[in-house]
Amino acid sequence: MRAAAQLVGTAARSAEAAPALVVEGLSVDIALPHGTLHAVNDVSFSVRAGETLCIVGESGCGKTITSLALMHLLPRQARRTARALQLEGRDLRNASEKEMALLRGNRIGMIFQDPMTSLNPVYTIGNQLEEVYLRHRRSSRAEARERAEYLLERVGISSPAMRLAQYPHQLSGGLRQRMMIAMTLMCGPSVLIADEPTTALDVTVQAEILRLFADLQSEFNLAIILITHDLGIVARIGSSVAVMYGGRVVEAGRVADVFHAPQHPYTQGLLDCIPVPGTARQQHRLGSIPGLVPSLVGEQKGCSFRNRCSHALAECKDGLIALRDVQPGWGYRCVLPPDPAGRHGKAVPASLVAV
Amino acid sequence: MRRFIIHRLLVALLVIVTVSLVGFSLLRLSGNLAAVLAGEGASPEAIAKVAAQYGLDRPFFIQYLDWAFHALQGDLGRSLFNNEPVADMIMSRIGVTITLAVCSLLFGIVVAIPLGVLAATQPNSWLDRACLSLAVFGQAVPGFWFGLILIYVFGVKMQLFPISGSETWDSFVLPTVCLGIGVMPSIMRLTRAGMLDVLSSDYVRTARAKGLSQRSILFKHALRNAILPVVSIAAVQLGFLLGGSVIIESVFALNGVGLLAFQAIANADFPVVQSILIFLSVSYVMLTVIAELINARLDPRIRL
Amino acid sequence: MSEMEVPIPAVSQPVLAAPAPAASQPLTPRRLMLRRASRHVGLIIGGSVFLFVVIVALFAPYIAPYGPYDQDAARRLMDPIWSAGGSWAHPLGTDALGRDVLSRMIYGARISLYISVTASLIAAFIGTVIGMIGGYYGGRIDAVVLYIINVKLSLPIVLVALAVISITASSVGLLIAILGLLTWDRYALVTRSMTQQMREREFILAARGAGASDLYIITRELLPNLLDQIIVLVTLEVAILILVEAALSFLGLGVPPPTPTWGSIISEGRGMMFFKPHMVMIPGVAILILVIAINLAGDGIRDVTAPEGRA
Repeated sequence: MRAAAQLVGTAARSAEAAPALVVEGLSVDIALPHGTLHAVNDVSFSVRAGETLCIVGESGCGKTITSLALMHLLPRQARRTARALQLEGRDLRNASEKEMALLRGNRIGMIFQDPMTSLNPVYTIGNQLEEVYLRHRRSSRAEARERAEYLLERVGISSPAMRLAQYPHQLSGGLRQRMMIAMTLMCGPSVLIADEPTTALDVTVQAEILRLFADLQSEFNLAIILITHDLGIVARIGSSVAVMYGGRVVEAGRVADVFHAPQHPYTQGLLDCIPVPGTARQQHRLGSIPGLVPSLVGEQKGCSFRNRCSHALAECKDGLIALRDVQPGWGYRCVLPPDPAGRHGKAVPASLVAV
Repeated sequence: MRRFIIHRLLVALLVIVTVSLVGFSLLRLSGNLAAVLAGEGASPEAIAKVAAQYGLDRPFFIQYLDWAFHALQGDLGRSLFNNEPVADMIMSRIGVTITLAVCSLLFGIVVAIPLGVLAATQPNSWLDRACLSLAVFGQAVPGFWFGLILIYVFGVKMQLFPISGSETWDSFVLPTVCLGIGVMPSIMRLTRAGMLDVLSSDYVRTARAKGLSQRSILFKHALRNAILPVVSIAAVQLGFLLGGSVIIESVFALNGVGLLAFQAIANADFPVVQSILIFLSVSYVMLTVIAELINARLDPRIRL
Repeated sequence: MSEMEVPIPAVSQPVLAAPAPAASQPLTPRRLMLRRASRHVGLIIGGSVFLFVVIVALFAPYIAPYGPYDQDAARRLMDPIWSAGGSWAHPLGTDALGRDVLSRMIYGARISLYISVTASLIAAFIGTVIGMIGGYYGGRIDAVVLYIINVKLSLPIVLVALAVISITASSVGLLIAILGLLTWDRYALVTRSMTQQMREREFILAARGAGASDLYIITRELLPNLLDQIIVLVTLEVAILILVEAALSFLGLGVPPPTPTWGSIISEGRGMMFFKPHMVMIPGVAILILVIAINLAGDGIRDVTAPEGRA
């Protein structure tokens, strides 16, 4: 069971160092006035140093809550449970707030989507960089400043000494995001979570930031979790991918495998939505997945995608759809048997099968 | 930035001039100030004599300019009651009023800000409701009445503090509490609202993700941003405290400018009343300008 | 300092949460508002107390057991009902001239409310006109409006009121006029700011495009949208004016004697505070309760009409 639950871990690498982050059976429930919202349901994955796991899904699928759950930065009404939750081998499930605070920014870092609002406007760049270091290390101000300068240079910000004295609003969006990246690296964490780090940036800047991620990963030996809705980014820098829908992981494996032959209809649907230049003739309409995301409040029975799935069957309605393995390290949550050619269901697009 | 300051100062100057005009004319509202001064039932000749004596028979603007000319040199005329120079009378008493106002503001701030921060960390808890109840009380309690209660309980029954006079430092304690309880609510509410707002901001989320200590998040990151509007309101409140000193100084018999104004009103000593009125108004204008400047200084986004 | 733990903001409602319960009647905005109002504790409590006092004040001549000026030399300085020497003939005791405190309190409520409400309405009118003109026209006109507001803000209310009243003869009418003329600034600032925000909205641009005159736009399009806020302000300002009037009457320069007001009753009782505290305590507590009630009601109205605005 554990082998099946471990959806990710490149098969090529033999058992070397243990994964930096292990998540098994993570669930997050949020108490609302009219019921319980099952935001995250039985999510499992692991990431090793040097790997980039991309968590993909549309808005509301639970990817951000998953990342917040890892850092235990959930709202008060949320309850988190997990069969396993380990950071560098340390069990985080019952860690107190104090213990978590010592790990955040230190062993695990997080970058958020909008660098404009994610930085405190009244303190200098230098101040905000140094305070992480001073908090987690017994060092002097001078040491902290040296490290800050070094990292600013490393993330591609010119004249770092001058930048330290500047305020966030004096930097462009791209520079600000680089600065955020430098900030998370101050204490040399082993895991870096990036929640839509390039969504708020220009396309050209996006490419640079992604390249930066790749460079930094090899130099600092990071395990990166990248949350995005952009499959292009996944293709570009992901080594493994976990596709989320309705709070669950519906498919996960190496990027090359999943993108080449997606097993879950939703994954296939996502890939079909990518417009390909030159194919927009009469037969090829812009792909879309009809229907709306279902409510996650109350008991979740059966497959949450069935109302939008063109392959839906009667069995999809009930019970828990278990994970099936295509091969070790590649699993999907569907009743359909694996198909080496991937799931082609575009022939019957818009019918909402009533099951 | 410099243009900003100059612009603000010019506007303030305009307001000051207008306010002095208003203050000057207020006392001449009844139509015939000379008649009031001469007393009831005075004959027309007596009234005319009074008018000539105080220059009240001249055109309004001449009177104003004459007064302004002297005022700018520090000469605010003489009291009708004891013939002392008004400026001296004010100066000898202004210390008490300013001390009271500043102490009350500090008291209000020292109570309000921690409570506001505390309330914001636990919205809708019993703690939050308790703080808000205190604010509600502070806003609703009549200052003069609360002063009487304080005098009764602490001054008479418990004999802890003097109940009148301004000789010793502890005669300022009760009035400070009395005034402070009135300033505290607005500062507390503003702090609470600002903190609630800031605590849900993205940069506080970042601070938490960096694993910073609770104290650092609350005070270094959150409060520092939430406090901006409080600073400007504090300066303005100081202006109100100066203006509202009349009541409290009367209740506690503190020898300040407010009590002087009250006595002058009772004695129809109009040069004193007029001068104090204008003085307090001008102070208020200067305080609002200072508040704006502080605000600009604290927020680096405005500075540059 | 566990209670100082930094709270994470509450999660916002997901867009597709549970379906709304079936409504028997259509949920118009007004019905929603009334429903919110019926659940708002502060509004209900505050509003009830306020309403109670208003009714008592309106029907004072029928409710008060005695006239406010009826003296009874034989029954001077009686204690209220909860003290040793009290009696139901005078539940709140009597003052130094044997006048029934309860009756004086009832009539005092009448005069205080009358002054505060009227002055508040006058101030609302003045402030709204000034504020809307500045907010609507902007530019130089707005600069002038701001300047006028600043001048007014600089004047210390109590001092000015005292000075003017001392120079001219004191009367209720004068008091109302002065208070009205001294407290319009908050209305002006709020209406100005709201008008500025609404000026660019589409329905105003549409009205302009249709050729409506400025006056029409201001009075028929903008003003109705401001009314909720103005009502809230009027309510809150009534509370403030009750306090100001009480202070002025306490100092002897408010409502001219012998008309009783809660402030003047306190002033009369001040000398005897140490051994006959009821004359100071009762009106003071009454003012406190009434002002709290009005504030609760005002905040409640604000919550119910614009719930998004609250922290």
